[in-house]
Amino acid sequence: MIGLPFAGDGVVHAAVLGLGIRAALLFHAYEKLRRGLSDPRLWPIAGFAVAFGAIRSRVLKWDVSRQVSSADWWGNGDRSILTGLVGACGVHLGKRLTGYRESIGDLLPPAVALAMVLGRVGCLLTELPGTPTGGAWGIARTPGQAATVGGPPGVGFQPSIAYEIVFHMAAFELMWRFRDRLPRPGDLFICYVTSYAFFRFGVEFVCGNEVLWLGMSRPQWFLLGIFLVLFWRMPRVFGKSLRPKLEGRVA
Amino acid sequence: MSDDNPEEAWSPLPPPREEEPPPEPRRGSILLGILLGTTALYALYFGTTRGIAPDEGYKTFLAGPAALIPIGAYLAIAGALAIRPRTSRWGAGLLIGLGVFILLGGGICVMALSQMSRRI
Repeated sequence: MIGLPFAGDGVVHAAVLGLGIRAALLFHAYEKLRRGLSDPRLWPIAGFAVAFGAIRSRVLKWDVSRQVSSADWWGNGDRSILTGLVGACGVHLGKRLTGYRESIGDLLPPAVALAMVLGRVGCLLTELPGTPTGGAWGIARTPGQAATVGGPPGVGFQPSIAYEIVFHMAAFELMWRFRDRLPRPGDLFICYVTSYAFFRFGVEFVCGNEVLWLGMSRPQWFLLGIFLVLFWRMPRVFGKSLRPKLEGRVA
Repeated sequence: MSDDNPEEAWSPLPPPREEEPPPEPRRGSILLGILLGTTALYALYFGTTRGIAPDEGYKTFLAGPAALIPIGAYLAIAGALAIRPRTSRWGAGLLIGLGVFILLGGGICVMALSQMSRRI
């Protein structure tokens, strides 16, 4: 069994997540250059996306039943990647306010996937993993760590966060390869969010999150609602064939 | 009768274009905006360390719904700066700084302080 190296260490978690955000911003800058996009409104739109994504990740994760103070929740409360990612209202607001009309759905997803890979490494090193494996493998906690993050010591738990890291790495690789070949601008974002929604729905069964109803957790019920929107959007992506690969810079 | 000027119509040269106004100079730095914004928010929320300490019962002037007022004001100012062309870089940096603060949360600060106090 593998031990949990930095159980409950918020500094390690925040430091690695900070690296992820920095990597995403650098990749965004690189991708703008590669595509020859010099419009000064793109950074403010990225700013709106980051700020509103972060706000959504807090607000929609607020568990009112826990009755914590607003300051505590705001400073130390849970954050949900899922609610932060789905919706992208910050981008729409930024585009509307700045008057930018082109789609930027192909620009942001690889940067988001990169941030997710590193951010999830922070989670893997510090957080409670998934459900018990039932075997002699998985991530285990020492008695001291179990007192900090909860759960029984010495039992192997599913490394569900590691599965997520692998997913985002694979998504980044695929987006890197196909980011200029999808039929319409913005399709990359739809593909990324849809595939993550399906993956997350499946991996939730071994995440160990609290079951809300009918054996499914809160994120799974949230995703069931999102699937309706995604089923409507996906046919537009796969209704047309891929664009041929272009060499050189993309206009 | 047409009002077209025949000379203009047959001229081999394209009509002279009106000079486009030079773009407004962009001021400010995204990186500085991120640093200033994040630092300001951390200072605001965690500056009064005693006030947010769990054993003090979270006695801070930012208790209750008031915790959201500075964020709302910050968001409005950063958004206004971001949509003005001259200050868009500052605004973008401040918005990203807000996102960084929210995503990293109090963990980095509270945990660092608690570790320091354990060493003292």
